[in-house]
Amino acid sequence: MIKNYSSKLKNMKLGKKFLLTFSSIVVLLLSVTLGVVEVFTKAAVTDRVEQDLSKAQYVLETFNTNQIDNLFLIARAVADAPIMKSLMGVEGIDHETMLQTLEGLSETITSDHLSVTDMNGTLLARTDKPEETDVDYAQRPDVESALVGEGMPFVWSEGEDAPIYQVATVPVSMEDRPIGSLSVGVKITDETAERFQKMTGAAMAVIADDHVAAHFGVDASIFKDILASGILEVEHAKPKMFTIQGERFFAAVSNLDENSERFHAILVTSIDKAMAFYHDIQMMMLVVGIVGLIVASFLTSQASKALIVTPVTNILNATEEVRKGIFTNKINVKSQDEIGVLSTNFNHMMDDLKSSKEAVDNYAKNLEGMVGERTAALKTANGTISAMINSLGQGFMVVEAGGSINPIYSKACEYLIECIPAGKRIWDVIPHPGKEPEKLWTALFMETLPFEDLAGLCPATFKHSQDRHITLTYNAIRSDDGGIESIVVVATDRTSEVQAMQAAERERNYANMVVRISKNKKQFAVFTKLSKDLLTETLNESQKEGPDFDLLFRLVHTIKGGSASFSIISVKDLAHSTESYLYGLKRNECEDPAAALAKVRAQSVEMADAFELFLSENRNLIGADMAADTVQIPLVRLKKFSEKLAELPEGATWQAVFEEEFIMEPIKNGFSHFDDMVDPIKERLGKEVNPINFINGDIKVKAEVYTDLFGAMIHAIRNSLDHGLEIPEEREAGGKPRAGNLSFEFNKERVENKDWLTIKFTDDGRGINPANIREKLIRLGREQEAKDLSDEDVIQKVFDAGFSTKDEVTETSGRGVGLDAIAFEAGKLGGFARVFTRLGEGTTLVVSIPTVEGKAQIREAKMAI
Amino acid sequence: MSVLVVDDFQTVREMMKGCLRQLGYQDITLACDGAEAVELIKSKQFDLILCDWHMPKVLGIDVLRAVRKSPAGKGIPFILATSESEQGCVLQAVDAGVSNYIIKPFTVDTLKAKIESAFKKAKAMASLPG
Repeated sequence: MIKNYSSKLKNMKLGKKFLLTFSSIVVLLLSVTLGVVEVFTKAAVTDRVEQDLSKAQYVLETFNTNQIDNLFLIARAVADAPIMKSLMGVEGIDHETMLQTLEGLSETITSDHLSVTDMNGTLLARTDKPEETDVDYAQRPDVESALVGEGMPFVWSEGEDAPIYQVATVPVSMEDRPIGSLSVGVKITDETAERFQKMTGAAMAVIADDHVAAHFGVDASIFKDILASGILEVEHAKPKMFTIQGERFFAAVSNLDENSERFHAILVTSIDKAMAFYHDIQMMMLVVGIVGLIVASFLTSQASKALIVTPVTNILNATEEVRKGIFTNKINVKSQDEIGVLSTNFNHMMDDLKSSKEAVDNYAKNLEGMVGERTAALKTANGTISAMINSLGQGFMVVEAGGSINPIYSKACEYLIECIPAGKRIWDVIPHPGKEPEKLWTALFMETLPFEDLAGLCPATFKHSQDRHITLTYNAIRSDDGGIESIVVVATDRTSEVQAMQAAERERNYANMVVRISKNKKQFAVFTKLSKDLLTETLNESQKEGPDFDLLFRLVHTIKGGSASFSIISVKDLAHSTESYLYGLKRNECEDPAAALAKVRAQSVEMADAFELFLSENRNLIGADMAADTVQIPLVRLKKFSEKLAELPEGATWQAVFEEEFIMEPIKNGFSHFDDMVDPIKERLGKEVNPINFINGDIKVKAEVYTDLFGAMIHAIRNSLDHGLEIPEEREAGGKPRAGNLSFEFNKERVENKDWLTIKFTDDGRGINPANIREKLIRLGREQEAKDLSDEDVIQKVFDAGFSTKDEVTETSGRGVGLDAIAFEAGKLGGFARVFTRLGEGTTLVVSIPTVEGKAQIREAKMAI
Repeated sequence: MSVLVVDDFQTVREMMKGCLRQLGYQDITLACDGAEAVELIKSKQFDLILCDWHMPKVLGIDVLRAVRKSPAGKGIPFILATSESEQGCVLQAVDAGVSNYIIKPFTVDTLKAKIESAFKKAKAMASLPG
């Protein structure tokens, strides 16, 4: 068609201009079309396929790690379940009961495999092969590891045709000692591979040792050929290209189990299929190019109209009609001159244009259809991906630079973070603790510090209105140059795990309480009686107009100490909270003293109620005799008593013998429960402490006289743990053994005709620095004392009420209550307390009190005056 | 390799020293407040500084600024130690050119990772013009 025009116009003036304009436009259009086609070169397609496969590989490895983590969490929760422990702890339980329980648990956690072994690694029960018993699993590395108290992830298959399981095996422990192992597993099947292909587009095979155990996407023979090429020997790296059965593929390997090195996943994408897809697009581009060419020829005709001006009115009119899209009115050709030829050709051209327009219309229609089909396919794919992400139950949000959240997010966000995040800014959706969240996110994207370090400043949890425990993690999505393109925030509901942990914690506390009460029945009876008095006194004092806050504080502090040492958590927590209010009140630091006092009054009532509730709930455990002052005396002691009475020496009274046998008791009995109290505190503080050493602990005393003083000695221990003993690293640096030493030494002495009981409590900690005490005195406005007193005298200020050199308040001590309580109790008994210290070596607290006999001597002396 | 540790609590200083010893650092100087640290920097060249944030009078950020102002101070890895992950102070420290931060108390492994990261960061900062 083009050729026809040009041959006739060859010798004409106007024709030359026409040809020139037209051909330049054709050349231009062709080169544009070719340029577009060039973009989709082979290399670009190959690169893209390789990149996509790398991404699929990343997704697979992330999924694998998450899967293992989740399996572990589930396995630990199951192993910690009380029912599990009680099952395993029973000797010779029948296989049927064990199996039924396991099947119930397996259904709850929807696992494909749940099994338990005993300490020898012998299988006790297994849900997927219930008939299998007495198999020895001791050689399985995961079971082996669990039996020594550790546990590990594992991929496991029992043979070429047997299914592959991803397994997490953990120890089942009782009192921190493993009593067996428990494995939770999920099957890896063809469906696993299918789900993966739907998500990433890559075909996947799972390889066990050297055979294809599960696959989807391409024929198993292709995976076998890739396997035969020795791909497993190549270190995990970039995808590699293969030509198999005439088709080219990219393949990449991921290790599924680092422990055994036996299980791998091969991911495969066909390069040729991708090429074919892009070839279709190329064809489309060519079609568009041709359409463009036709449109251009139409436009050129318009241009030629401008070149051939007014004299050719007919043509002008005709072209005018052409411009309107009317192709039917032909020009009447009268002459064979240039214009005549032009007119004839114009008529031809009009016919051609008419058919061209029809062709363009048809192409446009087809194009629309093709685009429609592609859009629908994409929509389906997007829908599938969203459905999958939504079904995960985790919230995914993508944060773009600047902090705004991408419109695409997973449905779970709406429930987990309680709003629709799309388009909002991340700090408006998740409250940030700092004042400058925008600055933090700018820093994150710019990586002014490493991403992981800065992400640590973002909130790790979300405060949910329904008390769900939502954790948040942050993951950077990087572009090819390594910069951060966007940040994915993942919200996960961990409520059930946290609840399981809390339930376990409660059980542990209860067990502790039972153990402590039964180990120290006597102290507990004393404590119960004392606590009732203390609680009543607290109640009365707090209801007074203008109560004595120092007294209240001391009372509540003692209640806290006692309830903590017997693990009565409800009372301890209330006491701790009340103490905080009282601390503010007594230091005049409360913003709203009236509200704080109201709180103290209310909590005093709650504390008394909590204690009563504790007593009534545990009446069976504590025993009815606890409430009354009942004594149990072994028969042998009664016999010994009667023998002594029968052989009463000259001058002795039966009262003295009775007292010796039944009333007096070894002094260390009043202190023996302190060791139990030391354990949890030292763990919390990260310190190591040897068991308390008692020297002369067998000295017999009338314990009931000293109950209050002995109780107050708790504060000495707390002070040593908190302030005296150093952490192991510091002790080592100072040339001391890692573990600190605490000792009580008891002596009865006769000074100036009076009998004294001396209690020396010693720690080998850092000692008290007189300079610190002076500094504190100055801060309290007591400069004169700081100046005048000797080192030895100035450290005695630690006995002053409300005196503490540590500014932070811990749960253990630091509120300045404690040592003053000891001085107070010693004073009540007519004695005194004094502290001796050697910097870097330790501190000794000496409490001297007249014995009961000594007291009588003092009274006599006083009366004589 | 000489290290400067700045903290107003003796326990923390000793703990940091213990950790650094375990990582093989021998030349460790302890300063018990910011003012002492600023004086020390004037007379000695340190290869790494570990500094507390909340201290009486001369704050951690003042020490950091003094270091960055000193002639060879631009490339010295400076790790800020805070008692909790407080965003405000970390961002402020980032502006002042901190190399990384660490939350007390910490383990030897964490400290090791932070020191490595701080050396990388400080190297990158030193190569910047201006």
